Amino acid sequence: MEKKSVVVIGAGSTGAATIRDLSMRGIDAVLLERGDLCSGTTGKCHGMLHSGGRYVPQDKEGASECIRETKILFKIAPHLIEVTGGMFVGFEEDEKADPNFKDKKLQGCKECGIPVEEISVKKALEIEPSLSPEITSALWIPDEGSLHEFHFVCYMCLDAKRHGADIRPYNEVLEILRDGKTVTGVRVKDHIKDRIYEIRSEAIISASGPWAGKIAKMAGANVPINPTPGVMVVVNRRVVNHVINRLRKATDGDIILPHHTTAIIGTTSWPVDDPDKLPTPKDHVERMIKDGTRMIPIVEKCRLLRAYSAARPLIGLKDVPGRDISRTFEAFDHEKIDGIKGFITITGGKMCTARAMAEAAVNLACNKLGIRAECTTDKEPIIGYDEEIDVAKLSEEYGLVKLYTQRAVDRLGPLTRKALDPIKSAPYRGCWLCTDEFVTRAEIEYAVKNLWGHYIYDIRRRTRQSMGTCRGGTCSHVVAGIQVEEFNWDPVDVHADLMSILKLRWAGDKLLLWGDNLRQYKLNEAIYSCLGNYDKLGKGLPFSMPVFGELPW
Amino acid sequence: MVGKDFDVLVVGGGASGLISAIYLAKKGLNVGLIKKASGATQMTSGLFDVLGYMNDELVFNPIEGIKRLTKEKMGHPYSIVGEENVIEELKEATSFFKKIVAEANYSYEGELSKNILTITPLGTYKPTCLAPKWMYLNVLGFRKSKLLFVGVRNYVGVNPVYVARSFNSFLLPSLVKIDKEVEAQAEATYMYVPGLEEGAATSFDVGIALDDQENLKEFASRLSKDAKGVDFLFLPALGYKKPMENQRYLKDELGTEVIELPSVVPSIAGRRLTLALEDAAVKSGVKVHDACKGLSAIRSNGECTAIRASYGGSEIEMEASAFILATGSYIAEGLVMEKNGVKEPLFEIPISTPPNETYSEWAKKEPFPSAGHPSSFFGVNVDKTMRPLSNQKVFCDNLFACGSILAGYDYATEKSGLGVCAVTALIAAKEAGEYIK
Amino acid sequence: MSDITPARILLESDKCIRCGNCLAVCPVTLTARMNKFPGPKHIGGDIARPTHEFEVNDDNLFLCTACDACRDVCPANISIDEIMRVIRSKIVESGRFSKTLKDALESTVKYGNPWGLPRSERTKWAKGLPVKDLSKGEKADVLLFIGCTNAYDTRAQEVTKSLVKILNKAKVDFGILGTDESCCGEPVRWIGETGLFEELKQRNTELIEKHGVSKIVTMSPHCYDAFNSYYDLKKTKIQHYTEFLYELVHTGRVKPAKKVNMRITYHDPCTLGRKHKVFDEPREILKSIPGVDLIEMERVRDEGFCCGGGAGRVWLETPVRERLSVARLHEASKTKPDVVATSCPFCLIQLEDAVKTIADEHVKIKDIAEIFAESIE
Repeated sequence: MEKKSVVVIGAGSTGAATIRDLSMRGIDAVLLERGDLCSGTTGKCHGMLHSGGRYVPQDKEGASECIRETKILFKIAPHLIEVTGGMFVGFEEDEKADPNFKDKKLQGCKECGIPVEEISVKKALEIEPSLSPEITSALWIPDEGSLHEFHFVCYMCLDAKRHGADIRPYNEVLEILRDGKTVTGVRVKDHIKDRIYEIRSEAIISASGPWAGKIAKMAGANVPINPTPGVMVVVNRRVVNHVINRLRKATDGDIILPHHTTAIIGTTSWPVDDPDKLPTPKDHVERMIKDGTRMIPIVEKCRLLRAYSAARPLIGLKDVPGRDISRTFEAFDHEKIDGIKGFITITGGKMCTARAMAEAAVNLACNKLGIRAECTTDKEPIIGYDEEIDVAKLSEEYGLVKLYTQRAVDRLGPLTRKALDPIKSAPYRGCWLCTDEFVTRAEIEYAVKNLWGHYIYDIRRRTRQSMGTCRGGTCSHVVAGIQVEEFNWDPVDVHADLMSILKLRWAGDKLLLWGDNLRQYKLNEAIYSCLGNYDKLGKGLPFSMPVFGELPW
Repeated sequence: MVGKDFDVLVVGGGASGLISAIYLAKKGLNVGLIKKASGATQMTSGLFDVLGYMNDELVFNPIEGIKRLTKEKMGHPYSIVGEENVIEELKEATSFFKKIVAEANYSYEGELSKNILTITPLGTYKPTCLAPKWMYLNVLGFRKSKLLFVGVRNYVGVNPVYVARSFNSFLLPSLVKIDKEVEAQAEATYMYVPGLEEGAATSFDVGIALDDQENLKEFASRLSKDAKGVDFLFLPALGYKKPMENQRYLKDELGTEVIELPSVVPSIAGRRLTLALEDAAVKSGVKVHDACKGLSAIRSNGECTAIRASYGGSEIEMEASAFILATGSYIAEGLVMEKNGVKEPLFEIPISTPPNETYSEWAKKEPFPSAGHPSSFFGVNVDKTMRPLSNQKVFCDNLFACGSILAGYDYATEKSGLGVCAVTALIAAKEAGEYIK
Repeated sequence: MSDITPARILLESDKCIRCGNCLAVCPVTLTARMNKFPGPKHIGGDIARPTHEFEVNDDNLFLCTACDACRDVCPANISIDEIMRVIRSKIVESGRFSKTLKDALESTVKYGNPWGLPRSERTKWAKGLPVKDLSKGEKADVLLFIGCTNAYDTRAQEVTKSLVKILNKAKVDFGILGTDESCCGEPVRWIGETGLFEELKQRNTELIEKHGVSKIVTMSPHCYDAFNSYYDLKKTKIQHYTEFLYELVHTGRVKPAKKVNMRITYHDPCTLGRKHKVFDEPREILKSIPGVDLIEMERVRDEGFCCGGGAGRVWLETPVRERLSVARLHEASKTKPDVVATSCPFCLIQLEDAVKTIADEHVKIKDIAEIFAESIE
């Protein structure tokens, strides 16, 4: 019988931060995630590094949390973030709706310790030339940016592993075992090995985001979680280099920010019952395009790649509108609330407050376990650099064009050398196969060997392969080949996996299937249908990944 | 630049445009052709599909398959050509095609009455009808055959291990279901092509390197050990300009059949086909204008009189007595899918698309539905003379259309691409020729 | 052309669907190969979506010669050359690019030519020749725009002298701008120095308008392209000298009489041929010369393979194995010519360099004007 001190459920930002904290305090813990790491809400957010400015003035507690944690992230995860700075921009209609809003924002930010200054429209347009010239006011906030969510989660898991933790994606908790009102462990299904097993544990921390309600029920507990999805639209280029927020009361479509090689427009908000059934309503997509265009006029001329939705884990009463719920987090001690011993839920919050959330949850767990161990997660870097990364030098060493090395460094940071060194002894590993994001074979192999990349879709999260313009058309079959050649996958399973990821890409792409996106699809059709004959041969193939809820078509 | 006068002006330089232009030029007409760039033809794999599937069933004899098709699928270009004529026209079109590419030293093999199943570089198989001589292989003919897939180590496009293992465990079982006599075993190996040992390679690099005799010799000797006892040896590219000669050489040296796999984009076989057809066009006397983009059509009294095009930095007008529209489908923008429907940008022939249904229909489907994606079925509707129709009336007496711009079929799932291009090009050319008289 | 903003140009890369048609024809990708050069697929598709402001501060982007082969096979006709130029302009702003290119730009600012030689020497080639100098107050019907390379490069000066001989023989009333002539700015524009290009454009336009000429004949296809595509010379007719000379031959104003006995293969300059479709005139001129046996090499006309001199590359050091000129010379040599003919000064000096590089004693490089001049008394 397997025994662990703590089981953490959910490998989003909160779960990953939690297992990192636990392991750094020397506690024997395992992280269980039913899907791939970061395949829940964290994997589908827009990757914003928050100053907290967005939550001012309506949620000053949430805002203060944000700025505190963001500043810590600057220290502990510089390679996982891109500090771009951000702006709040207002239009005539915003000023008409609430002429005092700007002052409330300025005042509120000051109160929360969020550096902010008002700048002239001229300056704003200089900083971000693609801004609409119709803006009438602008505030500059330096502490905003983009947090690379997949790598954030991945690195925290790696760090946890280094400290002795056990990271298990594709291990789904089927049941929370109890002895009376005391939680004793979990029953788990390993989807990859197709076996069911049990783990005994002293405590369970549920970090399952919008699924927190479902998990709590398994323990006989309650969490007032309201899954509240929003739609996001991805633009095929980095139309903005800074985070652009709308200077008005928080509502739909008031943000557009850079994310690697793209820009993301967001978002909307509506409550659902089941976070596994998330539609992407067409009218939401249209609205996002419209709102994005208002702030950045060129958006309507740009190619839009994909639209998708993800569920926020909002804690609160059901009839309070989503936008009015605090974005602060909460650690639920279910012994106190429901009388269930050994079960903790940590949820709510934002991706950038994950570390603080973990600290709260692990403090609570330590109490229950009678352990005295200090939290040091705010001081230790999340896998820091042990050498200076010199892109030019690395390019020469590996025989790569500087641009490719730069992109690899963007993704891998301190792990760049580890990932790319195999190129030195086997130069063919330096051949790249994703021409949109410049991903080399070495990086793909590294993702599988060291970063828990199992299915092609997982590899995609770590390397950004297929996230570019080609939507996986020209590169996915090459990754499929590597799975067979390097990792001995059964070809039948790989064909199924290949079809599955193309379907998953399609789920977001089909919502924007006109213009150049349609042309792209036509090329992919030529490759996979006409040449590959997958429209016929793929029919009998099962969906490769475990499915939770509905397939998105 | 001075505008030129032609009997027929063909707009579009893909397979269908070039075939129709060559046909008319060989009949002695003064033919002009404008092409803005290369389109889908250059992305083809080298295979010439006629009809591979009929309602999800494999077609073994395209002639039989098409006979059934003309009874069941009324809007299909083959049906529009007419069930009485289509087989004869297809025979003529495919013969004509084989003839003109052979003149450019590019030989295709195959018969209209027989489909073959070929292996693809994606580790699958597909039915096709004609193929370049060095690609032509029917896997259903394997009898205790030993296959060797050779990959080029620094060319990522084709993974021989993937194809070989896929053949053994994914393809073979279903091939045996079709013909229980099929027996084969596949292995894989990687090689470096001499002269191409460093850096990442494209399929063109591989082909060009193998066109060099010294490299080819060395390559053959490198392969000789692995090729012993092998019945069929597969390469991702056999050469760029000399695939046939290289095939012969390797076959002699290695004592095994040597086959080039169909190309995946960027396609070396597609590029060769484009060059072969263009070569044939120039040789036949077609006045080909490269990088010449049609901007608008000038009409008067219901007839088309000229095309306005950009060429060499200025705009020119080209007058002709008849016009053939062969601008293709979405990839090269012969058709444009906008948010609210499909447009044909040059002549502005109305294309009917069901409003708003499109989104919800597509949202329900998987990406590669075996019946074909709805977007493929949109296009220019024609009558049996290949004249575009607008609200069921002939759009313009002297305008004809052919190729993938046509409505009513999905080439990708039924595997009919070049077949439809060739036969509709032939009809359009004949009809245009008739009109000129 | 000039009113398209950089943002609109970069938007074109949205159209890229990664088909790779361009990789089949890009001369740099075929020689330097993908490890060295991002290639048109990446320039057209990806580099225009940068994550870093100057992430492409890579000299390798300067290997592109703007030969336009890629655009001509791109199903969406993406202006890959313009995208490349816009990105180069950002790199040039940052100052992080090759010294030899910087020297060429600085020289153009200082001396009005990229070759590092003083303005006063621009007419050295004309010493003792009957050439009207418009800067000295003389008047003429036709302005012969010499261009920097034909003025300063000692090899190219031979071509200039040949053309002058032909024009005088045909009794053409022509004049030059003398030392007033400045670089047309075409290479400067491709290198990405947009500001300097605008200055040169303005300067030259004022001069041309001042002299009120109705026709400009350029020696270089690059000047020809500049005046046709990027200047706004509405009232002036612009011709490359091969178009003009073709007319002269056609109308009998000059007749090549002496037999030259040469087996010639003609290399189409990209800017003259592919870009402006001037394929026939140079060939007709050659065919009109008695004793010329004109053989076509494999990649001609629209398929022409670049010599490697365009878009500033003539000022970049290239390892021998990656030299486009060497690859082109090998191709030309297959026709066993006595002479490889061309009609562009960059092609001329690139191919001459290739001859030296591979130490080929059998073939000579000549400009059409030189061959024609040999044939007239």
